[in-house]
Amino acid sequence: MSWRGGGVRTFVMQRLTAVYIAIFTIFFVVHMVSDAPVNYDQWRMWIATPLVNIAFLCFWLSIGIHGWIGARDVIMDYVGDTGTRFLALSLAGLFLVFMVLWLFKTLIMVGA
Amino acid sequence: MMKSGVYKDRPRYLNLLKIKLPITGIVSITHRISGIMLILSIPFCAYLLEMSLHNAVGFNTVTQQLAQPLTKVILGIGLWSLAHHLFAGVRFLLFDIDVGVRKPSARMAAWLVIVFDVVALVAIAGWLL
Repeated sequence: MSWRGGGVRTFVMQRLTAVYIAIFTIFFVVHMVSDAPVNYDQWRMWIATPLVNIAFLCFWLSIGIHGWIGARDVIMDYVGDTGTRFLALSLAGLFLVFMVLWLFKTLIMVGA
Repeated sequence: MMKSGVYKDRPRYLNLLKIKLPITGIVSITHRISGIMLILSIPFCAYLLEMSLHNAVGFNTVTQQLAQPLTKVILGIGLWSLAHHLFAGVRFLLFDIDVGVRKPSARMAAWLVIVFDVVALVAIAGWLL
């Protein structure tokens, strides 16, 4: 098996991002249930905490990667026509890049 | 779609209602459907996050919006999709380390995912209502 060509890298990235997303989700849900921010200052300060800010950035980057691999698998399985598949993959990729950059902008502006 | 001329008379159930999936198949396809729904929910998350972090007025707008009945229903569907995607995903991750690969345990784990789904639904409904 080759790391670059056989899809092993994709397989590993899908799993690694899955584990990170799962751990972060549990951390986020526990925080929102046990210590939910009651006002803007509290919410902003929590997101601006360096470690929390980095954890959020890693989360959305993982969502971008994991979402791309998932969308790619689904499109390749169900869209047979080459042209339509190319269009669907392009739109999905563009959408995810756009979303991740938007979320990065929001988080970095708060964290900086 | 796969092109094959070998089995011309094979049954092709294009009528989705006629396809009877085993429980493992149901958990598999709903993992995909919940994944697509979660991707489609990203712009709403990004919008809410941006507005809630913009200023105090934005934060209050978001909390008020989240208290609306319609928003609660949408949020509930989103959270339940997330819960199901997580549970079914853990089952798939366990396959990678050879846990639950054989048919009886694979079926039992699929039913366990359904049980967790029901628990999550009750928890989400309780939290939102």
